[in-house]
Amino acid sequence: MMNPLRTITGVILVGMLASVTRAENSTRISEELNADYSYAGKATVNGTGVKVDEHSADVKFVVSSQVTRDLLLRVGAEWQRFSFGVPAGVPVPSTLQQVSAVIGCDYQAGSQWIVRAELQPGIYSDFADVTGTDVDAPFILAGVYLANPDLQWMFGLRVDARSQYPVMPAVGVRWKFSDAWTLNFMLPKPRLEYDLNDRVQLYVGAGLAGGTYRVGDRFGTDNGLAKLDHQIVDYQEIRIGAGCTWKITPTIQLEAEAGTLAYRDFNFFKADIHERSHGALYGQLACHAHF
Amino acid sequence: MAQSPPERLRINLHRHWWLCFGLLWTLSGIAGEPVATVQRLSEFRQVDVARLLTGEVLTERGPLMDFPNGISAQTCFAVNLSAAEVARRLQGWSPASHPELKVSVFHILPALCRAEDFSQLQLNSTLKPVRWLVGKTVAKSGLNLSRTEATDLASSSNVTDGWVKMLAARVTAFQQQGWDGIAPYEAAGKATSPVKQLRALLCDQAEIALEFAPVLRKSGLLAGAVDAPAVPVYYWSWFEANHHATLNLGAAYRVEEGERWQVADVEYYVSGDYYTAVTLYEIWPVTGGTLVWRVDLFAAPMLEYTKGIERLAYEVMMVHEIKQETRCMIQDLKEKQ
Repeated sequence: MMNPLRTITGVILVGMLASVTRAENSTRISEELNADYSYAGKATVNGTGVKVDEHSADVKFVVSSQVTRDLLLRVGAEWQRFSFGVPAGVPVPSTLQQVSAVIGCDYQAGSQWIVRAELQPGIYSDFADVTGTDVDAPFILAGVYLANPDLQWMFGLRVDARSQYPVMPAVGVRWKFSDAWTLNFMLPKPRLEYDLNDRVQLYVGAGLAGGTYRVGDRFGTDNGLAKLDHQIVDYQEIRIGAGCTWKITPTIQLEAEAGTLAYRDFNFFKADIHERSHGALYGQLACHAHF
Repeated sequence: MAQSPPERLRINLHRHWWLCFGLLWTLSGIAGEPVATVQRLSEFRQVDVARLLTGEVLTERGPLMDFPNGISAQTCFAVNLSAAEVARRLQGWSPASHPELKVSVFHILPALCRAEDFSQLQLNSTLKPVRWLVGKTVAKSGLNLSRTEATDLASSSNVTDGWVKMLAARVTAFQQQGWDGIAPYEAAGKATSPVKQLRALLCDQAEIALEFAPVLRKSGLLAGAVDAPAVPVYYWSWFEANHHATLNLGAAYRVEEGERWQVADVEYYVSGDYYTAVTLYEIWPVTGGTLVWRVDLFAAPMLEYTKGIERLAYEVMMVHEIKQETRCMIQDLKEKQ
């Protein structure tokens, strides 16, 4: 069985090695760090009358190395956690968490096409009891067509064999239609952006988050629905909000965002149980850095 | 004090570029067969002159540079004209007749530049790209200017007149003093010399600089005294880059070296968005016409922070735009035969 701790340690070592190599050739190695934290207020779970609030956090670090003229390898790690303030006896997990490696590549596949393939093997679980059945490896394949500097199209799909919908296609576009305005309709965060000046950008848009997780062996039993024991849950949430990005330096951005959590769904599809809620306010802080 | 990697690189370049170009000076007499030379120095593995003569244009991203501000691209095409004629036309080619290239003005300057040569420059437009340039001029930020130029322009009662005066002064300094007369860009806080950027680009692409050593040496960009320096075609142009009105000053040099010709078109001043660019053409007579190999070297401040897939995308877009420009260029060469 794969040892996730060993995998993540390996990824960190590769990252450290890449940092050392960076001094030798700064243009061939790049590093990206994305981190965000958000809090969503209480929203009633349909059918239960119970109100649930949410803390969520995501940290992703990826090192990219240009290994050939057209190929960049990507290795890294991601940790994402959703924590729900939920009382006992409600069939909503208190935690959904992902700890995964990131292994992938970017490849110039034609004169105007760049393709990204990314595998994220790791643990996707409520972390009540971690076993081999909590290991998953979703896969993302996306192609970007660079029509011109102002217009790019994205076609992609996400493959997760454990999900109710194992293959999810997606289409996106980035269109800079004036000096200040950009329609950045790329998943998972489609936005309409306005550059207030060289450092500050305002935006409105949506955010999609979630994943496919396995809950613990006694999750259902402990919450009055035994058929949810050891089940797969597809968790999805959709946020609509507005925010501001501040470019502190050319390589570091801070982001603050607020809005409404329009839709949230815990989909235990094999047991045919949905726990939905909506209408909570949320606030989010994020930091994006690349070196 | 500890130096960041880009600072160290700049210092190393400064120390070693004389050595680098000294080597080029020694080896620059070597010339090869056209197709073999293009294949050796580019990523083009298949160069079929017959197909190029039918209008095919080959384009590729250049090799990844160690110089953090630089990227490059290469193009290969052929036209049914003599090599001497192609070289002559490329030296002063105006892209202004092609609206898709967004060049408003391309104007050849006389050997003694006057303010009247910039009479086509009018910055009182309400168009957003022009408003951006005027706004940055008044704000004294985001443009490639010396401190004195930034202050003078911001305090000028008429922005157009201020730019005309500044551009004419830069051209005059270049015409009189050559590369030593080019003032650094200081308005962004740190001094950046466009000449050092040019030399760093060439030093990074040493094999290409070696191939183009004849024209680079006669332009004065390479070290060492030259018996008969080439007289360039001086020009200024006004175009849109990244939705911003941009002004540049350039000099295009042409030399004949045996049967081949070389042209070096150097932007020694750019008002903003990037530091400098140099376009090199090597032009050979081949059966049925002329083979042209074009190399574009480009230095921009944002490239220092653009890596990974973003840099790849940037290079892809650069190639796309150069291909578009090359097609316009070929069209003009064919139509004006």
